[in-house]
Amino acid sequence: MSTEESAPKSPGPGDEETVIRNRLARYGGEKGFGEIYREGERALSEEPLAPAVPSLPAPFGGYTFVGPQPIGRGGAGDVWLARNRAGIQVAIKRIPLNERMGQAELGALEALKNIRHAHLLPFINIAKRATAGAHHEELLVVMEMADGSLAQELAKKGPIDANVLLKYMQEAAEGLDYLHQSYGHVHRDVKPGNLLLLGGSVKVADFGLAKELTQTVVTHSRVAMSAPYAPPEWLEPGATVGPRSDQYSLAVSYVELRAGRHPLHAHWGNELLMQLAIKNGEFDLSGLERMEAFAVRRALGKNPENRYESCQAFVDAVQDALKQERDVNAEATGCPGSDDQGEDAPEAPELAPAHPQELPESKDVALPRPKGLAMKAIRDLNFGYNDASTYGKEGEQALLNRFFVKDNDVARVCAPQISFLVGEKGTGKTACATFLSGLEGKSAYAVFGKTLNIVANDYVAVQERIKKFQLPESACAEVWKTVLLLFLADHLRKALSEDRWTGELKTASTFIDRFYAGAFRPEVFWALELLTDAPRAAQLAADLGPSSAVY
Amino acid sequence: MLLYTAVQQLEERPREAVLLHLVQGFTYVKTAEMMSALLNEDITDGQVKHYVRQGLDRLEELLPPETTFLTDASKGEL
Repeated sequence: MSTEESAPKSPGPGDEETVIRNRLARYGGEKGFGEIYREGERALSEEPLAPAVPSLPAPFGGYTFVGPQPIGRGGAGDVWLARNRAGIQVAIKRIPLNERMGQAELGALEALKNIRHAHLLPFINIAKRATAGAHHEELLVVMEMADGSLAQELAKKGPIDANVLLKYMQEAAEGLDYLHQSYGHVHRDVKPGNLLLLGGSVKVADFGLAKELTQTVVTHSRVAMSAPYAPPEWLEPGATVGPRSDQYSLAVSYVELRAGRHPLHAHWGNELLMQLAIKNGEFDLSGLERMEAFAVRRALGKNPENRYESCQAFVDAVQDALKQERDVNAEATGCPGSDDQGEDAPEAPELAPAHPQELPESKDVALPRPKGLAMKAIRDLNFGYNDASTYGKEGEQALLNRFFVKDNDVARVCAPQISFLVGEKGTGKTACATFLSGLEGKSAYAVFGKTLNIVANDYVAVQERIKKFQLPESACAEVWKTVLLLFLADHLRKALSEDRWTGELKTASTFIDRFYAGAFRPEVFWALELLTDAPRAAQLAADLGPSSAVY
Repeated sequence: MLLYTAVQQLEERPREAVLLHLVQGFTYVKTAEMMSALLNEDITDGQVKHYVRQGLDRLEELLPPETTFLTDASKGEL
């Protein structure tokens, strides 16, 4: 039994917990320790980290710095406004280096100087020079002067309109994909502050710098790697970072710019909790539309392999999702959507698959029919002895009731139309029951009127998939939710007339069917967001009245 | 030295145990769960206690043991 689950006790003098508690006395106990720690944290955060007005850097290579202060300050260095000999404004990033920055790294950066792409902010010049400060040398990266960054746009104007943002994201994605595909470079520091605006278009800045400089400037500690835009793979020891890491950061940036707050804002300022949230995918996507959030979730997937193939594919998926959302809303309100959806076109819009090549043919997708019944009528259960069936026999109930039961509940649950969920320990029975109870606020076995027969995947298959996709054990509950929703969708599809089986329900069902075919990929879980309006679904089911069994 | 600074100097596991349990106030079990998720390995609440104790050992090395925080805690320093 764990420590805090046990009743209060009086531990002996040798008890480790007591020893710890005694040693905390000097801090005023556990609470005092936390308070003192936070006071120190606050005190340090209020200290200026650098001189308020750094001295104007000396000119170099024909560039004259314009003061009195840098126009930007990042983790790696300061950005200064400067002018070349012709008086043209440029931005120069100064990055303090240590002696480990060798010619090889500089050479790699030099190679990136040749990149020319409409949505990448090119390096005009890169130079290294000796400095008089604590660092031996500094790197000077000369870039075009931008009008501002998306981070500044957000700060000034708040969340960016979806259409405008999608255009920006499209441009950023083009630039990043080009960087990945043509140069094999990973940006590693995609964030709103590095998405610059120049003449109304986005240019991705600072590419290449992070990759080369992580080995020399940026600390390799986990804290340094857990920047709010860093993907979960960065938190793993010996992690490899690939193009899909940039896609993740782009998705985080998208959410922040669209919703006006970072998806991990709840853990802001707490590195450890943020790391956990990143690892567990606990993002706040509440400012996004449901389908949009679904599309974004995939880019935020823990496993890079499950993300989109490219940044462009991610943005396309978000674009499609938003379009679908609008179409569905338009259909619901009777207003024309973005596509023509006349009365003669009962087909609900189909959501374009994010990865068409990975998804099966939608029309041929059948709901999986698992091997065994996980939910059986009580009469079909085999407990090894016949308590239940004995109880069900006429004349024996009264006798047994004298010894075992005090009310009619047993009789009620023994009714033939009542089904039960059975399965091995850990298969999600409780999760299923809890979910069903929450669905309508009634007991699990009475949710859909008389009958609810649920077929679910067998325990081994579920466990294997959870293991294969490295999902947490708690995913069991999600699997059950998915299974239940699938059957709800199937149930409704069979029960509703064709004209009622339209719009959101059909879209949601199609969506789930497709992703379910990939069986328990993380997307399946995110697909649940499409049906989170469970009370509404339950109401639809209730409208149908007591129904015959699905099976 | 600030307690904050001293905690930052702890080794990874004691630091996380101290931060999660003593600073954030999570129970031993919750801390064990969180550390397990962070480190990708099973950490028990017993191990958490061990790490907390290790952390306190190291903190006493870093912070003069004769000084009590109770008297000048409002300043957050020794």
